[in-house]
Amino acid sequence: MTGDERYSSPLSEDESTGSVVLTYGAPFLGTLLVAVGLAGGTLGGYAIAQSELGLCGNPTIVVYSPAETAQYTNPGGPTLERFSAAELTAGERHAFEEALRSPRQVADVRSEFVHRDAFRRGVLVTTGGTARYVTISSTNPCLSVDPLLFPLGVVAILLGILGILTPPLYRKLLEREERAGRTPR
Amino acid sequence: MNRAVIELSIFGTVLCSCWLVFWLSRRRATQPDGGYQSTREIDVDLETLKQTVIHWTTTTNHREVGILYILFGTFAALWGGVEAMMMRTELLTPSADIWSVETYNALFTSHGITMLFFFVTPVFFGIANYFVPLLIGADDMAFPRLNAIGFWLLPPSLLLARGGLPAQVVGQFLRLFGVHGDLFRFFWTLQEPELGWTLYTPLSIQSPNPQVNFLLLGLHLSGIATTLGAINFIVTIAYERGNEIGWEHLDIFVWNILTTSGIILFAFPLLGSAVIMLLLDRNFATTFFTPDGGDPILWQHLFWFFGHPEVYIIFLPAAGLMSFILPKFTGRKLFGFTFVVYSTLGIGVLSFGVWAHHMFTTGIDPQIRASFMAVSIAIAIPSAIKVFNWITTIWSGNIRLSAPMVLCISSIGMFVVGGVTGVFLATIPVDIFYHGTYYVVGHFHMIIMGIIPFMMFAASYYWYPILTGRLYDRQLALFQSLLLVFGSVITFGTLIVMGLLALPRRYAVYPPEFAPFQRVATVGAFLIGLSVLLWLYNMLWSYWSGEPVRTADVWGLKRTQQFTREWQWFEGRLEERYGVEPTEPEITRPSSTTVPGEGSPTVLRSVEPLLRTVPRIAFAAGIGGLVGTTLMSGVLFTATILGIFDLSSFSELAELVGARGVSVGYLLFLAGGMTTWALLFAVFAEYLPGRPRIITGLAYATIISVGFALAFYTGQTGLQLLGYVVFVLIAHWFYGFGLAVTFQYLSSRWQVEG
Ligand code: HEM
Ligand SMILES: [Cu+2]
Repeated sequence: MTGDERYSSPLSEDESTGSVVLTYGAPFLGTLLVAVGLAGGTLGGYAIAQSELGLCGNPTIVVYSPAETAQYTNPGGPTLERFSAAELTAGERHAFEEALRSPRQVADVRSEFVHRDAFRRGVLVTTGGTARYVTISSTNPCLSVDPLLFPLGVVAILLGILGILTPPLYRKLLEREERAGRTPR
Repeated sequence: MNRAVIELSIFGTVLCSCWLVFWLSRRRATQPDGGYQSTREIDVDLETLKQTVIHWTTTTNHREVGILYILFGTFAALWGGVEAMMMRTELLTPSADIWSVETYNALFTSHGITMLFFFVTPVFFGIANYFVPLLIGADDMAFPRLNAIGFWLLPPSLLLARGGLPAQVVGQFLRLFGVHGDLFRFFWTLQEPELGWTLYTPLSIQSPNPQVNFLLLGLHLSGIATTLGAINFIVTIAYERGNEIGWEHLDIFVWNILTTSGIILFAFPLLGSAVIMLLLDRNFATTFFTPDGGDPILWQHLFWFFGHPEVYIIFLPAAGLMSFILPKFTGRKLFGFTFVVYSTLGIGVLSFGVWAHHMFTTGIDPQIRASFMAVSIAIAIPSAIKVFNWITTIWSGNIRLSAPMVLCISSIGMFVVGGVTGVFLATIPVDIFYHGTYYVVGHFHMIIMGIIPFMMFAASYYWYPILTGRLYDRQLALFQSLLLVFGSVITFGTLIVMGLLALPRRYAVYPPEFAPFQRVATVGAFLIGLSVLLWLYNMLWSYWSGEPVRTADVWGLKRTQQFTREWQWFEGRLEERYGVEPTEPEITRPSSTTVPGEGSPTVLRSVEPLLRTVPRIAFAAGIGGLVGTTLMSGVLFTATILGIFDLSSFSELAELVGARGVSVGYLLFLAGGMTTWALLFAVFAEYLPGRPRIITGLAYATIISVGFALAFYTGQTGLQLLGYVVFVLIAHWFYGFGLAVTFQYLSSRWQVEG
């Protein structure tokens, strides 16, 4: 079938089942494989890339302004653990200070996070007499999946592309055969 | 992962690939033949480029403005689509370890807003801009310049609403280069809001993110743009019609655009005011919606008084396209044209009366809730009328399964699923249970995906020859539409199932037992994504390399006398520009005749006889239903004695309407058997297969027994289950038998056609 026929010929009236399966079935399975491969490959690929790029494992903390903190310190509320900035580990303090500077009041804790559980519940950190409510806003856990997922995903995508390309490849094959048959012996 | 950079890169990659396809296809454009312009030349010198830019930014031609709208809407759709894919990627794993929870929240917010405000309405406005004037024989829109302004307000409003993402990227770059001044702080603090598209108060007041203000301004601006467009459509349709086109000759698509514009006129200004009040609350310490002094629920009332009509603003143009395109591929006129028009107008009015069904769980007065439930169920009727008319138009038509037709038929299917799940949601007890679950997400995506983009795709294929003067690759189109349908059913069907299993929505983290479902849904979503890319490829490639049209009658519409105005205009243009001779088919037949099996039957043409026969038919159906239901009750009674049917399922039926007790449930069951199912039978009796009416009745009963079996199932297993199914079938056969025989007898006595 040449390019033009695909645009103008009436569809599928004289097509045999075999050719319908070829023109629609094979690409369909192919696309399905690509979609499955994309899902698997993304997961697998990301699992490999994340630790290389330092994308996970560092929880994000958020520091509330003193005004916002007020609602956590009133008597009726829950009692929160209190820390002075000096009591925090180096990594925690660094993150706390960075969050204070950041316009969005968030920062990642990049090294040991000893008070993790307390931070998850929420703590009050006091510096220079003002208490600020601090809590973990995102834990950024690392994704762990079977390492096979990535290669399998890639294979599925490749196979799928092959499936999608089946009709034109098959057409090429037929054309070549025809030409070979016509050449004088 | 860094969402902003990744999202912009994926989006950028998609756009670049588009350009690449465009460029390659131009190089491989088909060879010229004779006088027909076949390769499109573009000069890339600076002067022409400047000319082109000036031309496209200042044009007031309705067709060019239409194309601008369509391009803008497609751009937004791709952006929102990338976000959908990103959400689905996150949901591959039960914990939030690909994007953070915050990112997920931002994603569903911006996905919803982009799709609803910047994709659907602009694309439909584009289609309408292009085709409404052609369909009503007008030269242009009534106010061409206003039209252009209406469009050019959209890009800035998109930028305002979605500026958080580019701002984040800029901020990250500034940080990379060590810039830390005020400029950095400005870009760094703007980030995509995480509020959900409904912007519920008080969260939206408390959120410190300054981007929320820009979002509100952007929404306001887009509301102004939409209202301007709507006014223009109304005036154009009312005053610019050609002399020969009276109201009774308006196309169904034009009717739908008119109704939509009417709804917009009342809905969007309301959104505007509510948004302004929210802005004041956020920045100037007013207390409209704050818990102290104002009322957060007030926001919900105002929002949904806009929001529910909005649902129909985006649905009605799609329904119009369906009613317009479907008949062309069945060779029959749209069945019951007037009824479709009335149902459209009815939806337009009713859509303002149901807003509180979105608020059943906010603790508003139970009495008020019940009335809103009633109206919400009532609004299903006009939609059902549309579906019946579409199905009847297909019935025994001369169907051509091209890509637009595949999309039409599957759209009807998805709309039915979406509609039925919606009716369930409108019943208060069900809503209270399923309100915040994936059931809702599945329900509205069935409609919002299943009819809106489907019909846009169908229209893009149907009118492609007019838009570009070329044909698209039909094989690829057929493949693409099948893939799209398959992917959508998989994705959103799975969402409904997850909802039935009570998985809450809007959470990035979910219980691990849902992981298999979520993965299936994600694979389905990727299939949708791939099919959209195929569509893009086809559109762009064919623009340069498609077969040039050689006749204006691409779809053989003349054969069934459905060669409508826009095609006539196209024919004239082809002749005048390229000397393409108009064609005339050898045989024609009208698309509407009284000959069975040919055109659309004309039974519903005139209202007069209808008024006489309809009550009789209804009465006959009611009596038939009574006989049938009584017979059925006997069988069910036997089954109860055998212990395979549980009477308590009747009381569950009663609970659906807020009452209790087996007897109330039974009365409801009786009422349903005498009205809904019997009337449906009366309407369809002519069209159902089977000659003696009894066979028809049995076939009909068999079909509806499936629904019954599902609804009244009370946990039977093993042999009991088998017995239950068998008895349900038998009971329905009795029902069908009683209904059909009685109905047949009565209607022949009163000499009315069923
Ligand atoms: C490829 C097709 C699509 C996919 C895979 C998809 C996926 C999703 C997902 C995963 C959600 C979030 C559900 C949650 O967590 O509650 C969502 C929400 C939503 N989607 Fe889509 N969507 C698609 C197409 C569309 C289209 C075409 C529209 C509109 C025309 C749309 C409008 C919405 C809206 C309004 C929401 C609600 C946002 C909110 O909860 O605030 N989607 N979609
Ligand atoms: Cu609603």
